[in-house]
Amino acid sequence: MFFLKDLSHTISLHPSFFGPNMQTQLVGKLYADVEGTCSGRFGYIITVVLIHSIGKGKILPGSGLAEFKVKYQAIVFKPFKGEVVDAVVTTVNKMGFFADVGPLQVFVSSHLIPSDMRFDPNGNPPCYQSEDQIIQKDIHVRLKIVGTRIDATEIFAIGTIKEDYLGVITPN
Amino acid sequence: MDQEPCSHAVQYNGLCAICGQDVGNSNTEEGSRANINMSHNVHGLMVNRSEAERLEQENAARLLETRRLSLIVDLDQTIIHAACDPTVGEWMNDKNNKNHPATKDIKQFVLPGSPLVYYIKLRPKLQEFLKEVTKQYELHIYTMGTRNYAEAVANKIDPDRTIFRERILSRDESGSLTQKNIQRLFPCDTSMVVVMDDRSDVWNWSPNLIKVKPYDFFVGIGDINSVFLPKREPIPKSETPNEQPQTKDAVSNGKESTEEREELDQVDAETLAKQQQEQDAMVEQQQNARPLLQKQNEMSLSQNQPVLVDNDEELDKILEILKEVHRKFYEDYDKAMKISPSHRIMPDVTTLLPDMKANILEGTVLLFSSVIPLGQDPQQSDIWRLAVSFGAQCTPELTGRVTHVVAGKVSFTRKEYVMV
Repeated sequence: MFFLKDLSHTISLHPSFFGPNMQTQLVGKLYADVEGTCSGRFGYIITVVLIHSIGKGKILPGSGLAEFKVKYQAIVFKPFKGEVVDAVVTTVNKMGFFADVGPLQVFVSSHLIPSDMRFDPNGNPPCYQSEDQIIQKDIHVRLKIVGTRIDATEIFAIGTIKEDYLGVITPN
Repeated sequence: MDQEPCSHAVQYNGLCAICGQDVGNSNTEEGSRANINMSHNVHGLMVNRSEAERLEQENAARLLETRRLSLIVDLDQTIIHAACDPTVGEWMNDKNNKNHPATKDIKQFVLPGSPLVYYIKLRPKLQEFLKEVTKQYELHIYTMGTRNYAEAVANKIDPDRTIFRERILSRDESGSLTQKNIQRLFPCDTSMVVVMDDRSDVWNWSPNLIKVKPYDFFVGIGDINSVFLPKREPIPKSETPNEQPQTKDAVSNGKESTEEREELDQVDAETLAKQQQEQDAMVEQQQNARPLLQKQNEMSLSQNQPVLVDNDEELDKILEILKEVHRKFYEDYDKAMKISPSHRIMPDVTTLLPDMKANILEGTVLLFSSVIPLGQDPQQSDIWRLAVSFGAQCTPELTGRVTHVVAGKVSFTRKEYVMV
């Protein structure tokens, strides 16, 4: 699920960047630091929407770096159990398939694939196939997340397509 | 609702892939239930024993249906030889170089993040070999190279990925830097698996292994991906630089000594021609070192012969062996199918292959001279184990029972013994 979330981040800036362009430097560094990262608490930070404030810099004794506390608003993505998401299949093997939901990788075990879909290792690329649909690399699927495991910096998820209205979708 | 609790048979990074429950890491009771990693290219995906068995049965049924077996192939020095030596590139571009003709089908690639150019030479007749063997075997790559390297090589030898598909296991997923293990890919049932590698020690002398002669095209380069492995046992003749004069002699006498040895064979034991051939095959091991010296000689003496010679015929032999294994396996399988299921003994490569090997040198008693380095337990040496697996008896001492002497160099003391 996506959230609009107010967050803060502390940036350490090297003295060589002190000067008229400091604000741009800070903003650039914020984007580079936080976008695309994953924290267990908030999920994936997809993009920074706006910057509320950049605090006053505080020189750190010893190193000369300045610390700025930046408050910003970002779109975050955090998967939840029971959520239905669209994903792109990346790897197919005999134990199931992996699909990407943006930055999140979801594994769908062969136990959670409808039993009429059979694994065909001789397909090129390997695929799961039933009479009316085929799952192989780069196919779009709709799946339901049945479990997540959230570490400090990583999220793992398990999905299923063994329910109504789940499975291969044709992108519009 | 009363529901049977999930056995957590498949786990992905601490999550049960069936019920979605967090089962913790492998230290917890539930997390340790699934402890077998059997996928080629995925981290963190584990299954438990019964799930692994189920998957393998499915796989075996599918193979039996199409009458095929599994074949695990190594890359470096088995089906290709890779080098990073820039001189290869120079030779490829220099039409006047005497090495140029041999470089015509060398393929090159770079890996992301590194300027290093890799040159790979396919073993002669590789394409024909793969095309033939894939009719009877499902091929897997198992290499000590990195994932990127393995993928790059696979793209070169199998551009449309019809042969290996996704069945590539590299150092990144192997789980061990020094050993290869069939159980990594086939955790329960190895009865339909054949392995083809140029080293038997990394496979711990597995019964499924067919050891091939290392492909040494770029002379002296060796296996670029075996830096982690224990050093290959030094091959006699190419020992230390201070023994140079001696080794040179050995080379000039090399041809002679082979002939002499053949003579001795006939005189001594009047053994079968087949045995002689096999003996030669074993002697080939020693001869592996010869090209290296060729290079040396050439550098110091003449400029006539090219270093790169493309005259390897190993794949032809291996193809014959593989076809034979396949034929025998399915012969036994067909026989077994006629018997009622309760008494049926299914054929097994792990017994079939050693049986085939054991016939080859049966009845011979070998003595190695100047082959196994001193200070090493001869029974642990590669060539000793190889000879024993082929059914020969080996002895450290010259006795009346010795039928063949395998000599690394012409050593007069021992030769005289044999003459007497």
